[in-house]
Amino acid sequence: MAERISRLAAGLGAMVLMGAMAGCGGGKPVAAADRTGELTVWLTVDAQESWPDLVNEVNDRFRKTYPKVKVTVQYQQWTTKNQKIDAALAGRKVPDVIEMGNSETTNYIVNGAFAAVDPAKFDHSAEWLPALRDACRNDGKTYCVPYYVGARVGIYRTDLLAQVGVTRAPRSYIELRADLDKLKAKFGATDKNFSAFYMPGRYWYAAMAFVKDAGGEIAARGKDGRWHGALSSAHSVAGLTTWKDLLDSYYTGDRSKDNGDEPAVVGQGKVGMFYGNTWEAKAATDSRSGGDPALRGKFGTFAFPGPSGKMMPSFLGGSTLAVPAKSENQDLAQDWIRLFTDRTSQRRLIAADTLPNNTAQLKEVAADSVNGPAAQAATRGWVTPLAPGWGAVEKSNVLQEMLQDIATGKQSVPDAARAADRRIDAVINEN
Amino acid sequence: MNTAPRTGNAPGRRRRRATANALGLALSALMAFPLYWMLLTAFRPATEIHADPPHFWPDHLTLEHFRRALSTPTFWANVRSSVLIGVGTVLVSLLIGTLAAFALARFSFAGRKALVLIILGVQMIPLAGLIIPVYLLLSDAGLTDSLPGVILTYLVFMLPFTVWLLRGFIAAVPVELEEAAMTDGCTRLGAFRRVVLPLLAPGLVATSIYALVQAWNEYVLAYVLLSSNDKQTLSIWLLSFQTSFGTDYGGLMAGATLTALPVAVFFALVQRRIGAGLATGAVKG
Amino acid sequence: MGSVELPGPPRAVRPPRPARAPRPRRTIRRRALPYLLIAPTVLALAAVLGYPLVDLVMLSFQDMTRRELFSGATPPWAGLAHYRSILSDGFFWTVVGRTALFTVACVAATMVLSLLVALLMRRVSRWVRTVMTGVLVAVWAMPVMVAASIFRWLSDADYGVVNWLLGLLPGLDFSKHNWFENPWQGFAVITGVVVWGAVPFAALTLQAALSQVPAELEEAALVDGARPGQLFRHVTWPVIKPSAVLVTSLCAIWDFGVFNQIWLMRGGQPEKDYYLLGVYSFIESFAVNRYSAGAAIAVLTVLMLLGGAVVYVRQLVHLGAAE
Repeated sequence: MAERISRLAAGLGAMVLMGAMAGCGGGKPVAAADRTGELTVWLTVDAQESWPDLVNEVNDRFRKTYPKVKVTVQYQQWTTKNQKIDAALAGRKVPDVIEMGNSETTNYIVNGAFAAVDPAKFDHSAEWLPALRDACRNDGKTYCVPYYVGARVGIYRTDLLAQVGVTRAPRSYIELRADLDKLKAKFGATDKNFSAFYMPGRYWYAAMAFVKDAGGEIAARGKDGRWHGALSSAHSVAGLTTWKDLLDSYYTGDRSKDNGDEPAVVGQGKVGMFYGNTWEAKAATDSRSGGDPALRGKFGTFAFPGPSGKMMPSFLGGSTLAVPAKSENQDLAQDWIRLFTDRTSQRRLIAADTLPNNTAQLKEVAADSVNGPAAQAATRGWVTPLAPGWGAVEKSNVLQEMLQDIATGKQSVPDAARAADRRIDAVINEN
Repeated sequence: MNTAPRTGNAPGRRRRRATANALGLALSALMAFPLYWMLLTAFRPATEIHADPPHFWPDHLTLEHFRRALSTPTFWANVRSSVLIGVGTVLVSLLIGTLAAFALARFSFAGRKALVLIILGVQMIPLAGLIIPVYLLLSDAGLTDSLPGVILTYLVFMLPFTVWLLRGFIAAVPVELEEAAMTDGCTRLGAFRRVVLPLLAPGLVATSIYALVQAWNEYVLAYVLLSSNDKQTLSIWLLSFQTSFGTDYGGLMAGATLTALPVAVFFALVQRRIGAGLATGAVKG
Repeated sequence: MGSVELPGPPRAVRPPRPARAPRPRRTIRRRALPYLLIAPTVLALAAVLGYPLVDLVMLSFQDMTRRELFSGATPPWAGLAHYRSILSDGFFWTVVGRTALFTVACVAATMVLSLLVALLMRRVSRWVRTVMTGVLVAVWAMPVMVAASIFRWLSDADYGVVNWLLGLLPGLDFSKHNWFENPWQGFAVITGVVVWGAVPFAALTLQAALSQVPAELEEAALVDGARPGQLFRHVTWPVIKPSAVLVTSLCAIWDFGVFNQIWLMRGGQPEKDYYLLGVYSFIESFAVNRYSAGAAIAVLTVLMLLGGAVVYVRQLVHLGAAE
């Protein structure tokens, strides 16, 4: 107890001290060139793998303004970063910039982890994608800055489709299934491991797109402001049933997997078509992820036609950058983020086959480029419920387990959906 | 089956030995199979790793995964961290563990039972529950993202077992030897150094193996405690082969081979030492 | 080159020599000496483990959310609320039962296999012993993370070599067989990894203990007409018993708290069917952010271990205190 109080006292002391420093700063501003200190930036490995040059460039630009500030970029794994971030945010020395997935931010924001930022300082902030902007907002303030987004599209093997006499990407769900039937008839007959369509059971981003397309929801907010699971609603169940039917008809692989081994399976030539991020086609030709370089140039992308007749609503998985409330260099951190997300940097992301954080630059993505369909899909995207307990729903694998039970036939769609709703209700309103 | 009589007719003995050998080799093969598959995956071209049906024997071999693993920017920095943490943990835990083990083996004092209980109890604490409390403690001490902080943390998890093992070894050294040295004019420390310590060598080696393996392979605490990529240990470096693009099995297995190699070499080296120690018959209680 | 020898715990248990009456000055020093010797160990344990442990126990009586975690504010007092809700939750008891069953299965398999390996190592030719030692040592050097990846890879439904090998047996079709769909089979694989990783330590320790069995005693027993079973029970077992007890209790403690193997084998997303106490506590703390509930589960785990191990602990304390 005594220790806790002393820690609290130390925290208060630090705040008083910071206040005092801010007071000094107001009277006698330190020139940017004379600012000293250290800025620690936690990015996820995507930046290291896909756009390392951008990071270096931004650091160089930052150094021009603040030559005496040392910037350290540390890369984190998506799967394991949160427990580390939790510990770090509880400790004394916190990183100054943290990358967060847009489905993770809400819980951190409502618990006061991040400092508010002024959107006006950032390029294109008026046109930020709603999927990212909304994830950063709470009570009218903005607590993080959109970084990039990914949208899912249909990806197909052009060579395999050509062999069954199909020369263009499907434009309707009926056409899609007709193409898949042809693929299945030709390649599935000789190879029992061939999936005309790749759709593993735990691939919840794909399954939930079917739910959304059918007019369903994962969770909805009642009149009393409380969230509750909506997977067992008639619309949602219809969407899940359509998804199950697609899986039953065209997928031959393990139904209890998620899409983690997808580049390897696609790379082995066992897949005709799949639903994923555009960079996954690239991963399927990269031997590091088990892909086959010989397949390079044999993939095409298309805006996935939903069963409803409209374009499939894609989950917009994206990243944001936040400044922890405990950071001692909040202004420097914001300045670094400003550079890292400005117009020039976003252009570099587009060049790296990633979608930008704003609608204005989404138009810069060439329609006929590999990412063109993704840019199109991003306009009809959806995000996970912005509920305080959403992170807990995601991390306790409620959706994955429901889908696995449906895919393997362990439970009927309505039963599995009802069970999932109960589990969602138990945690979604908790901070 | 349990006992091979040393007397009896020679053909029977030979047959029994042959049976035992066959059984021993079969068990070894079973135990070694996952290792074989690891090496095979590490040396196999990426396109063949996901072959269906799996190729059971090596065909085309390649070093591409090893080349890629070795060219990771932080690899050598991670090796350095692993070595420093491993050696640091082993040395410190041996040093202070021996002292406590000596006290437990040679003295009776109030609180001795409690200490034995604590030493056993420490093994029972689930690590996951301690992550945040330990982090906060080290954060207050300014020891996060520092190798000494990790060494200190590992130390407390290794110490109990170290003390326990060494206690057994010290207890096995006859007290008379020590007393003889003391009557010959040695101080207690001198007697310890000249008589007990040499006889303790195999125990120290065995303990260091245990501590090294633990420190080398732990990653949950190290991951949370070390945030700089170049300070992280090899077992955290291995995590980087599981990317959002999928698992790089070739790279992971090559990395695993590289990670396990130093420990295996250390084993091979100290093994001879222990053999020599035993040859003198010094540890006979 | 011999084999790696691990120490058996104490062989010759001696009563402490009564201190010969020395001069008074030395008596004080003598009395202080053991405390000085254990001081660094006790201090390190108290500082680095004791404080976090107190923190953990405190946490289980509070209601910590991320808000308090991030701000450092003292969480509201919850009293026994977490314990009450956990202990009255049927799922918790399912997990407890599952954990206990898993522990018993793992420990039994480990001990039987290790004893078999250790006994075998005394019977085989020198070169076979070297091979066996080499394999055991190599397995021991494997990081648990790698072991789990290898086993996951071996048991993969679509590309796993195990399914393929089983499919070679006549009359069996294991292609696309998913080992983790049925938790019993899934736990069989997980038990496989755990036992595989634990056998080297246990077997080498038992083998070291076996080397203390005097050959003359065995021979004498055989000359007296003892059957192998009798020989093991009356000659071999008493000598290796302390080591066996120690190894068994350590394995039991480790297996009861298994976390890594399950976490890694299930790709960081274990289904509820795969929760053991360690996983459950971790999920409550870090996935659902109920740090206090997670802490309460951790505390209950330790209490149960202490309760369940009391027999062993008494024996071990007895052993440790005997000299």
